[in-house]
Amino acid sequence: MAKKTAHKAKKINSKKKTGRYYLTLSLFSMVSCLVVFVVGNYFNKPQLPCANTKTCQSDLSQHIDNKAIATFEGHTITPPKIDLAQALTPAVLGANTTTGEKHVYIDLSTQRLYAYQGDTEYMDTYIASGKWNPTPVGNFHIWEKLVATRMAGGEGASAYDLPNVPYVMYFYQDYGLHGAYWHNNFGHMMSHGCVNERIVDAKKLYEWADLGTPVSVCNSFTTPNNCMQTNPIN
Amino acid sequence: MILRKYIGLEALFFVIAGASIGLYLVSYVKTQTLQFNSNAAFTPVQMVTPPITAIQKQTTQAGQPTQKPTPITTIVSMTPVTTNAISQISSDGSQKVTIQTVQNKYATQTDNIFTVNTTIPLYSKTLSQGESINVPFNAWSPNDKYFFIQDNLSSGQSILIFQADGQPFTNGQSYLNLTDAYTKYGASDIFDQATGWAADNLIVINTKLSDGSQGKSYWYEIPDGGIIPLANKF
Repeated sequence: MAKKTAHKAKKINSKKKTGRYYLTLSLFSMVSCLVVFVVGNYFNKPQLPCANTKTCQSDLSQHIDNKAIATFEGHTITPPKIDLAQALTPAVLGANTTTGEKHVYIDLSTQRLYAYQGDTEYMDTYIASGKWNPTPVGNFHIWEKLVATRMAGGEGASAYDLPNVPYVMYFYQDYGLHGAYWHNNFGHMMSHGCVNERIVDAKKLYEWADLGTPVSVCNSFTTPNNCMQTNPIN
Repeated sequence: MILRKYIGLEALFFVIAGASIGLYLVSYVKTQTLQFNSNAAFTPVQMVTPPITAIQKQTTQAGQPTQKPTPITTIVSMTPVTTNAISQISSDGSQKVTIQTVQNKYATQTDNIFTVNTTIPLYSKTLSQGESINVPFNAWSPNDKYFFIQDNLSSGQSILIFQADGQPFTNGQSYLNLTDAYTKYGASDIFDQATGWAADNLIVINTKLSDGSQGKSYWYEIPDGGIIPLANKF
């Protein structure tokens, strides 16, 4: 009888232990999940943050708003109206007789942009690279072309919201070449990581460059083709 | 013994399951970060170093961008012998400021400033040998309402701001003198250059310290003429 009672008590105790045991296991499971997630993210973090923190994903598609108002550095700006029908110059057949690979070089030390087709220089102008966020040094390709989109980011006094950013060509994540209507301080760092150009220069480059055109961001560049890169990201 | 082994395996299963969920979350976050990096869509191209013929590099004053001028030489029959013109367009290309230089007798020249809106000079100055007037690369305000020029006279450098339509400012003056305003402001930093426009009505001033290193940056506000010290150096 006593043996039977002891066996019953053991059984009940075992049931209790099992419930607590599974609870502990679940806790261990969650802890291991958290540890793997945190450690994994630490080693797997992206090399650079987004250029435009608020529109990092959404600014990757064409977005035109001719009624919106822009803000930059605490100032209100009226963005240029974008008319898709007139945004680009109609291509003339046979106008481009130059052959060879197209290549865009950005010289961060002099804040200049050079565009070459083969051995022929197509463009040489001033740009404004990243001041609040560095422009990534490396060798990239234009992976997206948009006539215009919205870019927004920053916090507090340095927050910005810029609709109708014209002639955008992304070369690394949301880092791109584009026109800038909110400042005219080219030759000096003035962007959040992108490469700002005068609108006329941005249009000229946009119409010339193709998807896949190489873009090399150099710490310094000397003609004809000496691109010096320190710690390129790729 | 078997039960203990069973329980150990079960615990291990829970931990592995948790870790797997963690790994999945890490890879999910990575996918979200990289989904816009469509460089992968293109076959990586090696850094191409085309045999580009060296071009004559334009020499510019450090930090003071100037566009490659296109001199237009015309012979006139009057006493002034030659007329040269250099110009600078605005960012969107809709405005242009032109400096027309007339060579006089006795080694002097007269510089006349025009815009596309004006037929009579907005500003005219007779210069001695060694003196000049420059129109910087960033001359135009982003909204094309104002532009500035740089007088390099024997008495020193002056930055003069004009309205594009040729109208005088509200105080009746035909131009604003940035360098005079900065001198009156009384900052200890030495005026170095006006780099360009931070906004529609703000010119960026860079200064230097007595040891030659970079000093603070300032904004010059138009039309009020106020000088605003900045936390950032441009």
